[in-house]
Amino acid sequence: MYVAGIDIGALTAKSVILKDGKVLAFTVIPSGSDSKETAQKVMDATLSKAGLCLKNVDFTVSTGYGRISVPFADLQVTEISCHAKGAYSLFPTAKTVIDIGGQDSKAIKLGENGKVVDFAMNDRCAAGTGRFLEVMAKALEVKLEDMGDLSLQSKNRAKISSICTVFAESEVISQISRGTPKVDIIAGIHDAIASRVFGMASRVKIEKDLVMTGGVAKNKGVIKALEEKVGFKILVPEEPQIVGALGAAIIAQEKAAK
Amino acid sequence: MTERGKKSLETSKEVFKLASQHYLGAHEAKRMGKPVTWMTGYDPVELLYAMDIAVVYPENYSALCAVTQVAPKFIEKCESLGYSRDLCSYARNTIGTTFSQDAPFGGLAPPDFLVVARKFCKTHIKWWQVLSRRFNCPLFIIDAPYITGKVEDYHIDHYLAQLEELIAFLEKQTGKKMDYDKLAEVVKLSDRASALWDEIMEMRKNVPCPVGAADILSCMFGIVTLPGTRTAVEFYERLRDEVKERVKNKIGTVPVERFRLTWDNIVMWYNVGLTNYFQKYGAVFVFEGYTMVWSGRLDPQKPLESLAKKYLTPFIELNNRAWSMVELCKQYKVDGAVMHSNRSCKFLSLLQYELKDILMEELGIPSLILEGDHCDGRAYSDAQIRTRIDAFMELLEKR
Repeated sequence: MYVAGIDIGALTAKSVILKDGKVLAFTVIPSGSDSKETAQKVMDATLSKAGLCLKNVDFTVSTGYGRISVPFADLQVTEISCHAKGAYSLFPTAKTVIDIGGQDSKAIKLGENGKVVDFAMNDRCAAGTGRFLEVMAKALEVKLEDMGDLSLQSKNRAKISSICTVFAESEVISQISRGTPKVDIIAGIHDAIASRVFGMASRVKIEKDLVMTGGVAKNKGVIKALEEKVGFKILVPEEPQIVGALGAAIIAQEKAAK
Repeated sequence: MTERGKKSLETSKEVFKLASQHYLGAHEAKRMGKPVTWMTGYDPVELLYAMDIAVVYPENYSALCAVTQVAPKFIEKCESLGYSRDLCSYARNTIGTTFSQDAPFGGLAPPDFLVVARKFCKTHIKWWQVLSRRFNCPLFIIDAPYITGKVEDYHIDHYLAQLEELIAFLEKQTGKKMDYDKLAEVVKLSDRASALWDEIMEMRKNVPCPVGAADILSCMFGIVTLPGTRTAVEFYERLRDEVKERVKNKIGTVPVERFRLTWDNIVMWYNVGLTNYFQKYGAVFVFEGYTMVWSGRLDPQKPLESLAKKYLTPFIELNNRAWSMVELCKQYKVDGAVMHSNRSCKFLSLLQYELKDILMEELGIPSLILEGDHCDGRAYSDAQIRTRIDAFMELLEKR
C-alpha cells in the first residue's frame, strides 16, 4: 500500500511517500506563489523518485498553511497534529516537540501514545522563525546552511534583541560596522531565536524528551542555544524538515488501513 | 477574511432594529430638548432612565461599528490625531467617530454631560475626560472599588454615598428632581430583564444547547444598554419563549452536538462569524464568561441599596472569575475553552494562562488561547487563527 503526506509551508513544500509504512521517497522544494502548482510539483517529484504515479497512491493527507489548496488530498490535517505524529513515530519517548518552520514556530505537548494534549504558536511575528535566520544570513552575507557551524566557533556571543526581525537586522548591521566578529553575531542571533522560542514553548511546560523539527533544526547553533536554555539534550531527526509531511503520511496510512 | 455571525433564532434578528432605534432615538431625544449622556456598560444607568435621560454607550457603539465592518477608518482617524495604537480600540473608535461625518446612526448624539465609573477598566476615566474636553461638558466620576472577596457593608456605604451625589448631579444638570416612584418602577423592570436573562442562560445548560454564541452576543444588547426599560423586558420575554420552545423540541445550533465549548473574554466583534466556524466540528458555545455577567437582581423596595450591590459584584476579580469559571464549566458540561487574549483589554486577558492550567488541573478541560482584539481587526490573521482552531478541534476529537 502506498500513501502520501504533503506539507505546504510558507517557505518550503515537502512530500513523503510511504510503502507499507516505510519511507520510500521524499522531496523538499521552495514554495511558489501558487500553492496548487507547488503541491503538484512537489508531489510529482516524489512520485517520480518512487517510480509511481498519483493513481497508485491510496490515500493522501495534506498539511501546512497551504493544506487547503492541495486538490488531490483526501484529508486535511493541521501541522500541529502532523508534527506530533511524525516526531512521535521517530522518537516514541518524545514528550515535547518544538517545530521551527519558515514563518512560524510551535511547541506541542504530547501525552499518552503521542496524543496532542496542548500546543502554543508564535503570533503574527517572524522573530524566532526560519525567516528571521534568512534575513540575518543575507545581512551578514553568509550562507544559511553555514550559520550553524560558524556560530559554534564563537567565543564571545554578541547580544541581539529578540523583539523584531526588522529591528534585529539593523542591530546586526550596526554590530558589523562596529567590527564585531561575524561568528559572535551569528551566535547572538541563534541565542535570540532560542530565547524567543523557549519563552513560547514554556507555555506548554517543556518536558524530556524534547524533539526539534522543521528546517531550523538543521542549524546546530540554534539547537545548542536552545539546549542551554532547557538544560538537556534535544533529539533531532535526520531529516527534520520533512517531519510534518511524514506525520501526514502516517495519518494517511492509518486512514487507508481502516 | 472576517465574517458577521450567523444567527439561528428569529428573535435575534430584531437586535439590529433595537440598536438603531436606540442610537437614532438619542438624536431624536436631543432634538426634543432631552439631555443625552454617554456611559459605560454595567454602571447604574437605572438612575438615569428614571430621570428620562437618553443614554448611549461608546463601548457598545464601537462593537456595533466593528460588527458592521466600519471601525478601522475611525480607529485610523483617532490614531492620526496622535492617540497611541496601544489604547483600547473601543476608545480609539469612539474618539475617531466624534471627528468623522460618516459614523453609523449619524454618530453618537452629542452629550450634555458624562457619567463614568472608576472600576476595573483603567482606560475609562481618561477616555471620558477626553470626551468631556471634546464636548466641553461636565463629567461625573463614580468610584467603584475593586473588591476581592465579598462585598462588605462599608463598600455598600461608600457606593451609596456616591449614588446620592450622582442623583444630586443629575438633578442639577436636568433641573428636575428624582422621582423615586419612577425609580422603583425602573428598578423593577431592570430586575425583570435580569431574571429573564438568567433564565435564558440557564436553558443553555440543556443538551443540545438551544442557543449559541452568535445569537447570544447579539441579544446581549438589551441587558447591556436597556436595563430598566420595558423594551428590554418585552424583548427578553420573546427570546425566552423562543429558546424554551427549542429546548422543548430538542433543537440545537448544530445537527449533532459533539463538543460544548466556552468562550472567554470579549469576542472579536468584526468576526463574530468565527464562533460559527466551530460548528463544522459539531461544536457549540454554551456559555461565555462575558455574556453571563450582565444581569443583577434588584429589589424595588430598596432601589439604591440593591443597585449598589448589583454594581459592586466582584465578578471580575481574578480569584472569583477563575473559580466561577470552573463551576460554570461543570454545570454547562464544557469540553473545551476558547480564550481570546484581547489586545485592547489586558485586564480581562491577564488571567488566561493561569485559568488554562486551573481548568486542566481541576476538570481536565483543554483550552485554546487566540490572540486578537475586540474592535480593531486590522491585525487579525485568518489563516493563523483557523489553523489554531483546527488543531484544537483535532485535539478534542482525539480525546
